[in-house]
Amino acid sequence: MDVFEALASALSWSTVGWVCLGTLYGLIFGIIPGLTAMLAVIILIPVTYSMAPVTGISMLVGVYIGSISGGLVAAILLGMPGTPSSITTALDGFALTRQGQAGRALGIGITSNLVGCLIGWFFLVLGAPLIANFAVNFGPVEYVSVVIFGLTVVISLSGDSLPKGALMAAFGLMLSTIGIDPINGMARNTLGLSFLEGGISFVPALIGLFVVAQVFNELKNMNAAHIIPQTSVSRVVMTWREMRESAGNFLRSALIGVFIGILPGVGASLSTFVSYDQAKKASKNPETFGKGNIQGIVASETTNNAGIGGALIPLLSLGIPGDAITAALLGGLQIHGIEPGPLLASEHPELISGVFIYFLIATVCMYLTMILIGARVFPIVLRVRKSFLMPLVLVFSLIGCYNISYSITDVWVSFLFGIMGFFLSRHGYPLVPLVITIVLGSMFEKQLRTALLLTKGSLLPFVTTPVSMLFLILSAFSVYYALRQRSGQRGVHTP
Amino acid sequence: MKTADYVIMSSILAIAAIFSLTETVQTGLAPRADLLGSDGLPRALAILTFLCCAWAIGDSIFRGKRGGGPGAGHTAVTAMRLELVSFGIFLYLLGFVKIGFCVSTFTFIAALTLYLESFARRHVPAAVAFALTTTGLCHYSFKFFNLLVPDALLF
Repeated sequence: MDVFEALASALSWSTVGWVCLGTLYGLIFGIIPGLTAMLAVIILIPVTYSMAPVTGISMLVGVYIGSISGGLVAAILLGMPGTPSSITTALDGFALTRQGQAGRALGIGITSNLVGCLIGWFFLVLGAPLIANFAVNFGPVEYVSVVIFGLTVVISLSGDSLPKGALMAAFGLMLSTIGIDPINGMARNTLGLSFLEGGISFVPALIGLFVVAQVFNELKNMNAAHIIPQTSVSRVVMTWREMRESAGNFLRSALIGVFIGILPGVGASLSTFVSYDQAKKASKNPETFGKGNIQGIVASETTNNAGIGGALIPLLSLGIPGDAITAALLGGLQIHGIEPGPLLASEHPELISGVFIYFLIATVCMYLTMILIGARVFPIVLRVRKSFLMPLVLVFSLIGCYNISYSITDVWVSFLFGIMGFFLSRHGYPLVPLVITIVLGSMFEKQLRTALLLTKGSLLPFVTTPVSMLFLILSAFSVYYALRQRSGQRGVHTP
Repeated sequence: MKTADYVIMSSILAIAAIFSLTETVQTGLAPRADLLGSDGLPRALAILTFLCCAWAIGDSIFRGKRGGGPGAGHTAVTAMRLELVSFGIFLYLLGFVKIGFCVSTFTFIAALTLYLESFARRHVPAAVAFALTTTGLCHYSFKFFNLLVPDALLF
């Protein structure tokens, strides 16, 4: 049976219906700040129990695609990224909204979602076994180098003040050390408080810094009754010229999304920051990033969605989840009595064919829903007076925080980070480096100390292992290029 | 550098000092095989934080006022609004743990909406209706999506 016959045999109209429903459900979760993709998948897993395995898993993949794609709505329209992967979308997307181009910003983001999904799908279908083998060879030494490379983006995302950006990065790394030592398992920096033993979870911190703090920012000026100014929704589709100009960015960002997405445990957040940073470095006008440059939205959203295909590669090829959401999908497979692993393709070929074809269907469903309805309706629907919108946003985001680990501590953390984020951003301290290091800090320490245990304290393997050396060289280039760009901009601005 | 910068840096350095001086529970006499141990990284980060603060202060002195941020002084009205809203959120969080989600959400939405609406537009029945509708929407949508809310302790 050839590939097309296998794909055709996997197609069932009832499953198409369920996948579309799952995609819409995921979009709702993605759109509301505080409700994450992982929550959406976890809540739906028990519902899929009564379905056939192909239907259930394909529906969960649809939820995954919808929820990742939906994150751009709040990021662009309200400046409140509900997920780490939408932070960099908000930088340029919200700036465009402020300029009355909300519809255009949404259209660019949605098209980037489509392109990212398609390129991720391409790698998933054609290159899964090869790419998965590459990912499996990553050990702690390589992971440390990848994270160091990711941390170099702090330089270009530090806004006007590099020292303040570095300070925020160091502060974020410090906060990530609160909780249980990843190697010794002992409580550390908890000050004897039991609720700190779980550490500072990054989603409540993110919601506090970018949602609650943004609410406070909007409340500073109640003379403007709406967050979203009058905006045109007649032009939402990307023009051919914009697509041609973005072609290189699409491809680069998608490759970053796929190849970082396949690394188990790293996740989409890192790939988004790296992709945004690389787009800024490749741009002829890097100073326009953060002020409404569409390439920032293209980089961020393409990477997000390409990372979905990337995260599914190790799951379907080797049974290793690429991120937290695919870890939940793994649970979904096991509920149907399917053991993920290297033999999955040979034992359940219909499942693999089904995921391939319904991934595509979910992508098309997401694109059509968002471009025909979402991009035209949301800027109007969300143009509600602040006095009505802000209480709603706060309630949903705080309840979303609670549902991460059903702990009231997360809600209080979010509130405190909101106050902190408001004061920090008010005085010119960039929040993106803080979030990056909170997200990457605990993984960095765990991998670093594991690597040092394996190398018996030697740092030599970091420079003798080919992949590690490659990422360290890339990190050095990234730092050099970013510093050169900053001094070039300073030369332009300084009289 | 502004006073606020010194306050922020002092706060961060204080946290760094607390973390670097905190004693971790030792796991016996085994040497630190991973070079760092439990407190290696926090101490290194404390030093890094101190260096970043010194860098920021030095950058400000040698390059003049840079990256000061938009933090112009708030008007008294704005400051009071932000303080009241923060206090309102604080009470709300206490409320839905102590009293219950629906009552506290209704009160929070109604009170915050009324407060934020300009005096000319302050329409109590509309705000109450909005709060009721929204609370109901939240309650039923959370049930539909299986989202949990904290159980009330009822003191």
